[in-house]
Amino acid sequence: MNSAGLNLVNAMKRFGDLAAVDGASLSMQSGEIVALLGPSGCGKTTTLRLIAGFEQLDAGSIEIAGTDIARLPPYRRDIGLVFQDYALFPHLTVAQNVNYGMVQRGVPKAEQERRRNELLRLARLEGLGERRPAALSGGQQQRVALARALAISPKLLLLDEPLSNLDAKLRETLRIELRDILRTVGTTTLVVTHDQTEAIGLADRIALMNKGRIVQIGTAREIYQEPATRFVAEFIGQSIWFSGHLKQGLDRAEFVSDDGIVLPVAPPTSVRPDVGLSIRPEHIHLPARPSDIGCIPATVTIIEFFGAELIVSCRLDSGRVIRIPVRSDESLPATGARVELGVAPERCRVIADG
Amino acid sequence: MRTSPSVMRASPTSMAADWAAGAMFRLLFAISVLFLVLPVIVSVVLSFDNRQFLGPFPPTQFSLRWYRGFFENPAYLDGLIVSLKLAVISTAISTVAGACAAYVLSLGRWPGRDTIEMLFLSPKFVPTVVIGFSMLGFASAIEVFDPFTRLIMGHVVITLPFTVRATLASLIGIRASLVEAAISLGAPPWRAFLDVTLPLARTGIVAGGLMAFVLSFDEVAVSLFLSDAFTQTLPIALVAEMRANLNLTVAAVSTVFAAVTILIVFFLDRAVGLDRVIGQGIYRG
Repeated sequence: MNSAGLNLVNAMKRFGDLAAVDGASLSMQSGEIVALLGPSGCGKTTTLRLIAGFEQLDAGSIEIAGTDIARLPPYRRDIGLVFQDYALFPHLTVAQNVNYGMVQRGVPKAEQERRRNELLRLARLEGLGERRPAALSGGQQQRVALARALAISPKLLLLDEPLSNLDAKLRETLRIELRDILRTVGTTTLVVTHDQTEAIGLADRIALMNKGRIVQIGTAREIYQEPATRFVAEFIGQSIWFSGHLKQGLDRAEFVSDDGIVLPVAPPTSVRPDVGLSIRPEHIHLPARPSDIGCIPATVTIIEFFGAELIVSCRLDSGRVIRIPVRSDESLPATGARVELGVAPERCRVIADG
Repeated sequence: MRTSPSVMRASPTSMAADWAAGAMFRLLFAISVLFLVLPVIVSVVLSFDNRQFLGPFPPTQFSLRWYRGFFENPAYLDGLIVSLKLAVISTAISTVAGACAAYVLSLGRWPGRDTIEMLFLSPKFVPTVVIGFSMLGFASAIEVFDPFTRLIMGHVVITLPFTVRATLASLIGIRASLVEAAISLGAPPWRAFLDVTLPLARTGIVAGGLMAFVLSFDEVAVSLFLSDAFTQTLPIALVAEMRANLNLTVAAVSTVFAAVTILIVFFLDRAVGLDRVIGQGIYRG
């Protein structure tokens, strides 16, 4: 196995006044699949182009297998890149496309053919070698691009929004297929995406990026259960956010929201001044259970039926409406009823408002 | 907002108006085609006329006498050879220079880029008479007195806008990711240019070259200034002959001329057709 770990340290890239990548750090194990996830404009594409070598770092370093590659031109980096638009050479056949990188490296003809056949079989493209890219479906084009990038036995594979150009109906199937191929080859892979389903479905770990920085790295479950900031909590899944301040006693802590709600919380490990409270909607009990110490008074406004689940809209006394999922076999208050919403202290996360 | 369901029906008058407009459009189209094609047809038919004089159309007897006259007149033959040599050489220079200029212009935005592009395209808008006269003055200023060299200089200038334009159009159609893909696979930039940019721009370059060839082959005004009594292009020889003694050799020469031009346009069309096939590959998502 040729693949190696990646170590991105404090990468900086400015375009005029705009810091596109503002001190991003990311460490990947050999053979690991990581998704670089973030909203558009967060700097993830620039990060990918920095690693590929199409942009030059202003500061920081990029190490592959312990060697700094930041000064190497892109054609010497041995990084496989799958472009968002696949960028297949339209004037070459599928076989010539896959061969291209091996030809550049002077790989012997027989070895080229062996490797190409192996990859075309893996990407389920057997018998399509003589076709032009224009004669292939979107999914096939994507797999040609993948086979072409893997043909050079890259140390690292970069995928730029791999599924965004595909039909929504096909995406699910192709995501599973892509994941299977990536797992089989075992190449260290960084997937850049803005789609959390894509990130969760493809990657071992997710690196969340916002405003040019990587704000949290972890498995999907870790990030969901322990979001580091408000941005993370709201980007992955749903979050109900209260701004306010923390009142910390000796063995317990309370959060006082700006609209006057007081909730006991688990004492946070570090206290920053710019904190707020994040609660996942499914952790709110309707009505409050006896074990819930903190309660939020509210009025039920709308109940929507979605099969296994109901969404109950509740208006808080501040006028704010929150939507809470409830299992449809539970007994419910009627529309207009006054209720107490409950939440366990350990489900109340006091985190940075960033 | 709710809209009441209603069925749209065209009134008989509007349908009649549509029909009339359609018929009018076809009629105008037919008239334009006739205007374009008829004079050429008349000239082709006249070139086979057996009569000594310019008689009423259509001719009563046919022969190849005017073609014989064409091939027996050294002024025409010399002109044809000069024209072909000139067209081949100036097309070669213009295509290479135009492709290089277009490549630099396609690399992106830099200060003064639009001005330079305008400069390359400007010979299209300057009257050819002005270009011919200026080039004559310029050639004598740099002490170039050989008429053939002067002609090449003039023809390169007037054909350059077409080769630049055609190449630029095809270069802009090449997505940056294609070149980057080649580079990421291990090709140094010059190799990516040869393997990806050049083949994909080829049809544009060929189309520009053919256009340049036709333009140079048919050119009169610039050549009029830059040629002399011993080095004349075919169109110049034709004009001179027409002034001296108007006979139907002119029609025969025009026919040969038109035939060569049509042949070139045929190749041009094949090149453009090929462009479309490759274009699908480029733009397909």
